[in-house]
Amino acid sequence: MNTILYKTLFLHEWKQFVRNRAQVLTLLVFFLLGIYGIHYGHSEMAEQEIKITSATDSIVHAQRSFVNLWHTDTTTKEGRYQYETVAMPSLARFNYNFVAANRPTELSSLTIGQRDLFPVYYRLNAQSFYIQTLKGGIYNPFKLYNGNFDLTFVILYLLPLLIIANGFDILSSEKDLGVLPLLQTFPVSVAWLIRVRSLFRYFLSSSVLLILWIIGIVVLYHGQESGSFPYACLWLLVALVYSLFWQSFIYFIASLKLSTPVNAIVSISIWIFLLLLLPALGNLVFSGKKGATDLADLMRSKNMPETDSAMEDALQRFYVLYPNLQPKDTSKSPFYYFQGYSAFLYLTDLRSDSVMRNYYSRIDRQNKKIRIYNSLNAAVTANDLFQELAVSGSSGEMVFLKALRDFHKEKIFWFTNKPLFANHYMQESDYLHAPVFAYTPNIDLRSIWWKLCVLLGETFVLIWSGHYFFRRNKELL
Amino acid sequence: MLSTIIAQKEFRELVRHKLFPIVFCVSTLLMLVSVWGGYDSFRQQQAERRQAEEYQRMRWLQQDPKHPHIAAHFGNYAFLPKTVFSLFDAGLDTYTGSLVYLEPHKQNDFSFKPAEAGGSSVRFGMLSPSLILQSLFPLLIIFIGFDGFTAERRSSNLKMVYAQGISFSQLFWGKWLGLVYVVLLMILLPFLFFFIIGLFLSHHGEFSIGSALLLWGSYLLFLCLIIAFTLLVSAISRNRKISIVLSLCCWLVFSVLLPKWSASMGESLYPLPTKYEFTEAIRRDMEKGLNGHDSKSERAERIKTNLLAKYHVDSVSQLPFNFEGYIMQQGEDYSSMVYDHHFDLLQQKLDKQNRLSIGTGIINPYMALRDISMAICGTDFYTHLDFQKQAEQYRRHFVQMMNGDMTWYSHMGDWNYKAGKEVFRKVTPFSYSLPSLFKKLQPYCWSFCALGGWWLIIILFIQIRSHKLNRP
Repeated sequence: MNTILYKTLFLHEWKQFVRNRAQVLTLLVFFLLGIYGIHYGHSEMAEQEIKITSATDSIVHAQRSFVNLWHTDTTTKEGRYQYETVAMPSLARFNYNFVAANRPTELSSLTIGQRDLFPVYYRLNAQSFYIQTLKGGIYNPFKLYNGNFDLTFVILYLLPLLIIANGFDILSSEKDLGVLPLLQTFPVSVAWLIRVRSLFRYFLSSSVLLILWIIGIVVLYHGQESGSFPYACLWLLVALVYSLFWQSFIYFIASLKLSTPVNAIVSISIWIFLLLLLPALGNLVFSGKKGATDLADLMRSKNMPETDSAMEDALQRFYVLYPNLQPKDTSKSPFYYFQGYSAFLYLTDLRSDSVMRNYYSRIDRQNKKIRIYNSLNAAVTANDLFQELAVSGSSGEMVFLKALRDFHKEKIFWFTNKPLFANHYMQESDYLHAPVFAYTPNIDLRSIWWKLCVLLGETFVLIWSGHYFFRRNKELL
Repeated sequence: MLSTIIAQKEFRELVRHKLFPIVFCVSTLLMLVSVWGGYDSFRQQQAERRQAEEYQRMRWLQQDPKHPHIAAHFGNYAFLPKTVFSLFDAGLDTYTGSLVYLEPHKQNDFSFKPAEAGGSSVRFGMLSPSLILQSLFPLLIIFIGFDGFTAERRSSNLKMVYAQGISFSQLFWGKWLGLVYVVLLMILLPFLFFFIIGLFLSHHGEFSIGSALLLWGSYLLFLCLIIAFTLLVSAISRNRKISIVLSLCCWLVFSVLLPKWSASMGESLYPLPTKYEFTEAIRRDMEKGLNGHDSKSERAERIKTNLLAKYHVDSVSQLPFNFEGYIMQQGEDYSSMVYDHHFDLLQQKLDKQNRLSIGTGIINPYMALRDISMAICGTDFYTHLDFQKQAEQYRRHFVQMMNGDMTWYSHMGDWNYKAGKEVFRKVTPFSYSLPSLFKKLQPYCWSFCALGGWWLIIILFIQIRSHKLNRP
């Protein structure tokens, strides 16, 4: 019996929906905006990939040209200088460049997040890490201010409006049309009818989401391995739960038995609160001193006095960390001054590391307060989830920067400084085994499941509240 | 006269509504909180910036005596100042780097965008009076005004009103004026509060009463336009459901979709070069000359030949100044020329990207007001560009000073020459002068025209409708 009722009601709702041109148009517009969001995200990430590939190709080409200097004609003055550049570690350290890229993950096309705020690649050599990475890049602040029109934006901002537009008068329209008393004569409760209608609307919006997701996935994985498919499924789950949250919210509003315009006003007001007002207020209240100006010194050119005392001081402090590199005899090596400068750079970067750590801790503390404040905001939670899955948030960038720093400290620095401190020249074979930056972003599944549970919890609270108010106000129907 | 009576009636009805005190208190509180929050943020950032400037100045002055060119390599900084008006509209400040390192031979980009340090919610924006007035107040106006005509139509009052000889335009302007009184009531106190804080902070930065009045006037013009638009939609809608849906759709398109779309489209049509491409192009042109056939060594040789001829000497060591310092400055001048060439190309692309958005403001009053607001508050793209240019001029100036000291006070080959504090002190700290209000608003003439154009369209529409309805 119930199955027949569901089928009948669903069929009836479907017919009503297709006959309502405004609703069909709204859904179509949403779908088209979603398609545009997919196209935009895909082209933005393709652009980033092109930038990374172009820079990588150029730097790798420069590396090859550099290595080819081993075969230069050393009978000329210029040839001898070029040979020295590749053979002497003191020259090679600042002339042989490496590339380290933060490639977009597959899901970044669906959620650009904060990727446009940060550089996507760095060109590094054995010079101070922070001089090379802190000096900013080319960007349009106006474009950053306006944000991205990706699929996540469409889902976060426009999907709730679609749900509100299709459902804000789910009960009040029956009252306005005078059909409500007739509905009350049915063998099923009005509340049950509204639940089924809400369910239908949820299936409708979910179907559109599913189609958009499929299109997004096809575009993403076209001609590529689908290694991140499980995360893509999680991404869809987040979108469906977010849609369920808003559908539950509409169900809750309907249970309050307000008039049509009041329903619209309250629904839009909540949308404004969750998507505009509350996050903006949090960003204002919890943004404290960032202390970026304290980092200014890290960008300064690193000069040290070319005196024996300065060199000796730097080397002795360096040898405390690496006693195995301390020379056995007291005679100055031919690379003494170069070793001193490398030691100075290394130690300066270590000091800068602690300044950066303090800066990141401060940022982390502020962001933690904002996260706690926004923890019950479904829109911000969904946004966080999308960004965590796509590894396109600022936390993903921090992890990348840490990996970059480790690469510089452990690989790039020692590539030329190991022979330098061993008083050796570079060998051609050294270049054939030059380190390559490899970085795989990590996704914190525990955090994702936790946030998903919070979102589901809020949804269930709304559904339960809706049930409660429908039962309580039965007589008003 | 009739319109005034209708306005008074509308005003009384609205303020007597049971929700009005709540709406009034909430909106006023939000505005006051945002002004206070902006003030607090401004104070904090100014203190941080002042501290950093003093510290870096001290470091510059307290350098050990050293060769002036090496001292120049120690570098200086330009910190992006916050304008007093930025507490009203922070504009692009969150997305522009807060400082730039100034050194010889290189032009660096701005670093440390505040947004980089924000969490994932930074893209939701920061509460400010401009956000409230640009995005939330129009919604409030829609909620108050969407039923302006549809309620009259529903209760069959409209025909009776017209039957009594009141024209559509009289009724319209009466309702419009009533809503204007309500909006004025809601924004007056926060604006006064902002004004007082602005005057209090005027010793920190420029705060002109003229700019403040222009800002207030622009927002008032915009909000009055929104009121007129909402009432017009109500007048042409069959029922209140259509009225509110249509008004909200327009709000969504104008304040959410169009700005994002136009910025995205600008970026797609005029993509920027990568940093690597940009720096490589500069490096290539410096090596081979701007025309590709004038290498660095050829340029140096030409300068040397000309100097020797000018001073009638046989070798550079006989010149009455340090040739190394001179050639270094010549190199600096050439690199500045190359940089200017590439920087101009880059700025042209950025300008084209942004022009698309500014141009879209012709059909979007929200974007027109947003651009005007950012311009008056000194937080728009062109003010930032002006700061960038002034910082670059300062960089060239202090590098030239240090190279000049090397040229005239040291001998060729003498790298043991040391300049001390008296030389470093000659380099005055960087000080930024905000452009005049006229210069700030120059790129946005079209935005003013757009707002004016919208008013003309609405007035025309009202006249046409009034004429149609009052036809016998």
